[in-house]
Amino acid sequence: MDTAKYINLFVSETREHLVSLNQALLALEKKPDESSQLDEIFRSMHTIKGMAASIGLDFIADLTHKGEDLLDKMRRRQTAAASEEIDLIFLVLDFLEEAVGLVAAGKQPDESLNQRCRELVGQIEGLTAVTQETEPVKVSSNGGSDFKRINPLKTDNSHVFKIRILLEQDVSLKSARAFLILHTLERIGRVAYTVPERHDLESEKFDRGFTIFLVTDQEDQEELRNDISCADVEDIQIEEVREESAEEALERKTIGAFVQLAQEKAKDVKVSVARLDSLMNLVGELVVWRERLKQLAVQNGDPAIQDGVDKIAQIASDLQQEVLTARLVPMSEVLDRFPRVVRDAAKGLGKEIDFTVEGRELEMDRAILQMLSEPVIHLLRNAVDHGIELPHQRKQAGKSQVGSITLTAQKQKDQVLIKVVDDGKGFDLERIRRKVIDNGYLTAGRAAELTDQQLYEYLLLPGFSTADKVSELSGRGVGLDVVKRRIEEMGGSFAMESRPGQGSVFSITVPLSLAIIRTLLISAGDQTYAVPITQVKEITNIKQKALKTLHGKRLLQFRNRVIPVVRLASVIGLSPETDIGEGPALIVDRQGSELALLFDTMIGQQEIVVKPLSRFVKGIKTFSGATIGREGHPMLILDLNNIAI
Amino acid sequence: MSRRVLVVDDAIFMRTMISDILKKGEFEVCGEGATGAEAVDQYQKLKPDLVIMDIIMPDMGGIEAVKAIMQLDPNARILMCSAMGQQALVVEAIQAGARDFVVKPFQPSRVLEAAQRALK
Repeated sequence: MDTAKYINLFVSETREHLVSLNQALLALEKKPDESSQLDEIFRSMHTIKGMAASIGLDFIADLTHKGEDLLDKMRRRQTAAASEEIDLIFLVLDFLEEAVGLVAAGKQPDESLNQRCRELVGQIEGLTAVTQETEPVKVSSNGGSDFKRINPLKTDNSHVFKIRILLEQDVSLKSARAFLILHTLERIGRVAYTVPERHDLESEKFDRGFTIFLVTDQEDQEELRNDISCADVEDIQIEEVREESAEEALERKTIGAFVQLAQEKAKDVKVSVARLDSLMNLVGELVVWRERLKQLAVQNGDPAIQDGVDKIAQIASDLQQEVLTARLVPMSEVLDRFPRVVRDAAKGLGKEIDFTVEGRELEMDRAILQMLSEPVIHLLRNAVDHGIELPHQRKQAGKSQVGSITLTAQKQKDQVLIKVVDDGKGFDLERIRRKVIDNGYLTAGRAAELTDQQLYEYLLLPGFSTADKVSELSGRGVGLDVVKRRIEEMGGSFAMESRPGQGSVFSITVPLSLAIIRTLLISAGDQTYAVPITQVKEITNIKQKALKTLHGKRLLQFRNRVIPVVRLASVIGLSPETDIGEGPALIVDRQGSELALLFDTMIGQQEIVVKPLSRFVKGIKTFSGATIGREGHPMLILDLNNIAI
Repeated sequence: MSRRVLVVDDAIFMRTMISDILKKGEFEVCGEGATGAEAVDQYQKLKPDLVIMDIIMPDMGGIEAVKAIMQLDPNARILMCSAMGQQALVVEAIQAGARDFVVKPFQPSRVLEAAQRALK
């Protein structure tokens, strides 16, 4: 077996199953008497078990096997699931998540992991012990240590035989033949399981051979052979089994899990994200050179060449679109994990929260989605920890005892707007203001002048937090400043709003797809810079008389608004800051506020491929990345959100 | 000592063929029948060691006949003859108590082997 290939398959399949397991379990927790969820949970658990056993991850196979026992018991009992059972399964899912991470990283389980696995197994055994003895043994399926299932059947006098039957070539009515043999054996003992499974034998899904594990009091193998022998049988091999041998286990499991897996997955081909990334980079280069070629064709003037270049440009655009689409995944891949996060956080704090998710079906770039996960989880934990009040506090405030947190994802042009909305207590503005003063940022007088929005800005400063104690949940040294930074690294923006006593709204805007953005090219001096077009609201011409100075800041009077104004040349250090002058300017959007940016010349529009800046220049806030311009020269992308006014 | 066999099939051709095969082995064909009802009747009279019987026959099919014979003699040994595609009927016959089955077209050696095993 190609183990590496199977491990990758195992990791990705198991993660998918864990997501659906968590969902189903949450649903079960809400409606504990709905047995359809149990069936789904059981199936997923069973599949994980089969896969784990096939690649020798016995500790996972054992744990999921025990999990199956518990689920099976819950299914048979036909009464509502107990909360202790659900909690225990949640713990198992957590453990599996961690174990899969370890497997993905190519590490071996260490002693502490094994120990925890044993503890979980013990806990499950504790819950299932009562009924274990009386439970009938099932005709087994693939995976797991099925010998253990034979064991309860086995008394001191009984024997376990592995009987391998080989039918003659070109036999007709094979399944009736198999049935006859099983029928005969069932008079002699109990058939524990068969390979392939019985149901496959009955539907003739086997070639010439099959194997039966029989538990019987009969000792004499020759007598057994006589009993079984019938027409159309070429060979019968019988051996007594004490413990399932590794080779047999492998045979059985390989037939089971991976044949099934291969059948299920035949319709889709899994492509590694790394391969998609490199495809994306190549398309990026192609797009850059397409722009360059277009320009050369225009200069050349030959219509035949221009025609060819146009065709190639079109194909490049289509290809780019295809690659971008291939990278898209539904947001549910990440969003579906969040109900669990909120549930755990709420449970730990004794809060009651109704959590809803909207926009699961929205598709976005895989890489962005992955990067989004951490900041969004942080916001959710924040909302549970600092936003939603305890039930009695909510009652006192005249609110419903159950708090509400809503996560919405919504497409806006080529960006996604993600909002985390809670109906909790909101920011304590006075406490933030006090902290601004206490920490020496501003004098009391200046702090009193701050608007709400300006106060929020302080929350985004590193280390500025209103929580008095570091809490288990959200106070692990990661603050809103980190959330903001993460989002901005992805080329997005972060904003927040709050009403005391009514709740808060956190908004994240990120591009739908990474790497290629439409930009406006503007110049200052002999340098050209790119500005993301989604942030440009308007292009205008500024006259001297519209400019004002207030508190030493230059402001532009523009359509009844007053907007801070800067000149690109001074932003990049080409001219002194005070020298604003007249000329063309962009009115740009900076997360809700506006800025007027004067420039020298408008060069045009271009689709560019964003290349991250090397870490040596990452500290320079003015630029968010670089790209290759039409002439093949490097060009910087202005980070409008971080230009100092 | 040759064993006594009752051969039941609605086609004379098949009965003849089966009889010919059996005679090559150490078997004596002690009786023949063309329907399930005849099979039951003959079984009572002849008390054969083995019955070789078709599944699909007029006037009481093979499966009904197996059930009836098994009631008369729980130790009766019956070998079914079946055509391809009669999987479900074969299974039913086995559940009713048939010891084994052979599939048409017959290979003489397989019929003989099956007959010998059914008598063990």
